[in-house]
Amino acid sequence: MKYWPILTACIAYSGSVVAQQAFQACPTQAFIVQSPAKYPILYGVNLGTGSYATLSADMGIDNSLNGVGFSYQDNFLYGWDYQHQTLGKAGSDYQSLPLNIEKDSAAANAGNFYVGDVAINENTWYGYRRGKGLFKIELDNPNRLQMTQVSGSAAFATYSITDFAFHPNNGLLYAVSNGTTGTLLEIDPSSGQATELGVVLVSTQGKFTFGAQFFDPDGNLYVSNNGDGNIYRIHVEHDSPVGELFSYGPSSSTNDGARCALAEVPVGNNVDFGDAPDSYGTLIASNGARHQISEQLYLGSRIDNEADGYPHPLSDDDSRPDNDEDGIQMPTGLEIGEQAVMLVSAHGTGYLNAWFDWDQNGHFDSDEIAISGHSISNGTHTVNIEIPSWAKAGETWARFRLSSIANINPTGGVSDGEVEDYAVTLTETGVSINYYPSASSYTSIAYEDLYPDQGDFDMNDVVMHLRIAEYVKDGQVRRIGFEAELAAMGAAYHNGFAIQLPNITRDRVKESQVTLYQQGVRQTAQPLEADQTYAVLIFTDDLWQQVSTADECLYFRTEPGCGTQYRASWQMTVPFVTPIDQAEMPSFPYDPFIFATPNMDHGLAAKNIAGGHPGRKLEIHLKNKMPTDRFEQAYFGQRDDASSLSQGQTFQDHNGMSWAIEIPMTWQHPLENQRLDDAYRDFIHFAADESQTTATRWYLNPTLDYVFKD
Amino acid sequence: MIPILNTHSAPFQRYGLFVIVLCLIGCGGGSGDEATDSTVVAITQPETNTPDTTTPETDTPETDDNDDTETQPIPTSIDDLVVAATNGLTPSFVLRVDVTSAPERGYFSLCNAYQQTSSQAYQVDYQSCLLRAPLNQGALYRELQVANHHQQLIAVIWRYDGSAPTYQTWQYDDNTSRQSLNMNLQ
Repeated sequence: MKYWPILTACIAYSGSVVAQQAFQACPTQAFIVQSPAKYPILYGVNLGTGSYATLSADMGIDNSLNGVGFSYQDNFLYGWDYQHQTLGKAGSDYQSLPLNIEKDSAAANAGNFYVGDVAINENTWYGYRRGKGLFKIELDNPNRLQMTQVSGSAAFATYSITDFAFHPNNGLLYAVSNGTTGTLLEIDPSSGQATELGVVLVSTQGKFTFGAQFFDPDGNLYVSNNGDGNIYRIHVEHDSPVGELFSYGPSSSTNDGARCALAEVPVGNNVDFGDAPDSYGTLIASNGARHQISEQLYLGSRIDNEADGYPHPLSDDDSRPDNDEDGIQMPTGLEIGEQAVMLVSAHGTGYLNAWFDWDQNGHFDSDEIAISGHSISNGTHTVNIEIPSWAKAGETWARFRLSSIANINPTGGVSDGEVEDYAVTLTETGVSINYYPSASSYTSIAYEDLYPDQGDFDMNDVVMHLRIAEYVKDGQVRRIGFEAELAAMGAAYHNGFAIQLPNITRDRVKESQVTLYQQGVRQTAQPLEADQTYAVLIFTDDLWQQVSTADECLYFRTEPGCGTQYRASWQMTVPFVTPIDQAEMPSFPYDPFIFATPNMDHGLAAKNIAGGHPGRKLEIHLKNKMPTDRFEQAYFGQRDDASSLSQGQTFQDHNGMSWAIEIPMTWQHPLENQRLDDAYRDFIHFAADESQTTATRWYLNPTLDYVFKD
Repeated sequence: MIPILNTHSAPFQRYGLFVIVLCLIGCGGGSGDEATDSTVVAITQPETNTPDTTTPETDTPETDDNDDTETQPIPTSIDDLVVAATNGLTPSFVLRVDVTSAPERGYFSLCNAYQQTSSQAYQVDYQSCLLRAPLNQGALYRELQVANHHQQLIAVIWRYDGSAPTYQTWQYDDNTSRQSLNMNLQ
């Protein structure tokens, strides 16, 4: 048993003894106590977004509660009660009851404390006061609570802080100091000695006062600045720790915080995230842009909640019908060096900020803010922006954030509003864009892959989605862009996918500047195939490398119960050496084809004709499209094929039926083994009419039992 | 060839503002550049979705009642289907767009998702556009390839001086094989 030689003060309370209920074990929210009118108000703060709610406007005392800490050992809050000048204890009813404590002489002379926390590995409250030292109160024996100065700590008590927090597992205290710069301090609770770990924050206006500081279990320290409520995050164990603005919380002149450091920082499920690629800050792990959903403030007419961001290309807004990116319309193009008009639709009143990645470096840099703190009221408004002359033509991203805070960053959490991310296209002045079928839809190319044998006509061995954009200036096509995705694959054979540009010779493509992204990742392999007369662009040699099947499923999205929102995706940009006259360009969708994956089996019929695994020798094109130079023309006229190359009649059987068809929308393809003519009865009438004026929209009328549904 | 009476109705989609206009042949046709019906069916979503499948009515082709012995038997399935060797099964048509006498500095969009908000104004989904083009001295000419189901479109010209945009709807004309959209702002 310890002996306490110098106990000069004893504070005793005989008031109401009410059994206090502990908090639920280790709550995830942070507690902030503020005393704007002297008496304390307790808030629960979601650190992820900065959103907060009042837990108690009356904690039962008439003066501040400060130096607050959460005890992991007994699940109570402890803090310094200014009214009674002792430690207060609060449970789940948020009522602070003063505790009887015995103070040693140093503690008795130390006055009140606004810096405090409870340790993790011992049930002890620690309090600090500049010039006085570090003090502690062991909490395990409520009948004898003794407050003592940590030996020797007075000599170290020179640093200016307004809160500190215990690390979740190394037993040390950390704090960020106040002033125009914030220095991270590591404090040894056994001595009170502090070590400076470097400047982690620099103020751009005014001085910091970090009245509330907390940890999460990963060693991230969160510090809340009293003046503006901004919450910064610092990983204290990094070699060179730096603070990042994490979210925007409540501000107050007096502020103290406590949190169970072993609880994760959840974002909750009532939060809206962006969906740009994660390099822009989209996932919570990247301090992604996020907004607590509020019914009073959002863009457009929809907002959805997410547990985390879903960055492109796996965005839920790309794959789901209820895309909530609906608040911004761009009725004019984004031409470099010109103005552009934004149509902003807002529900509620707030501030709009917007960033464009003008230089396409994958980040929203400080000079890429296009709309800054623009006040927006309820309704639809026009906002003009300027595209800088140094912007780079091509595909990039824009982020729009509406919130009640005027100036926010492109990342971090906000307590209301919405973030919307848009893929946008920048062009040179005077460039128009011709989309097929449109800027947001796809055409479907559906293949049978048993060629030269005719298959089962379920037209789902490979189903590719394709969108094409031609960039035109003065009647000349400067470049083309493709967006492709694999929609279905009901075949065991391995196939690649490529597009030929009929009549556009290979040398007209600016080969060094062709770019291909697969699943959002830039590919190093050159897509322009060698030894071809006309340009042939390879997306992938093997589609099966890009998808996996669901459990119990043989194929990808062709069998009942085998649905998924996942799509393998590709983006390709193809610039030309010199612009090509529009009249020379092939008609849409050019010539998309599949080919046998090299060195893989593709059936006996294909093998016998090619004299081995066919690889690039076997191609399957839309009807009457020409094969490439790699194709083995010996396939023509074999088995079910009845092509006549000299007449330009290719890839058709003896009845004129093809191995591939185009459907100019996101098509509901037939289920496995369900024939096209059963799934779409009008197809027969469309195909039988040589004038192509009958049942031209045959693909809109499926027989529901025969088509695939996710 | 006898046009088919397309009986399926425009799908009322569950989400959002826009409704894709699908029902057109036999729904009034119209050859003018203006929408013939001010109650334009509105569109609900970008058509990245699968088509509405709640009305699986299928078109029944009207058969030629004439006893034309030269006529091929009407096929009933792929088994007896004969497709002309030259028939490429193309699912699109050509639309000629001709804009004249528009503001010198203007931006043209041709889009397929929109709804009418008043007699003069429309709400347009600019992510549904087929063509986005700055005007060249107030003029523009293009021959566009358009998917067969894009039977009704809207053309918009935005100015940069804050004045109201100009809208003009276009509808597929069954009575001609040459589809065109003329926009003369004089």
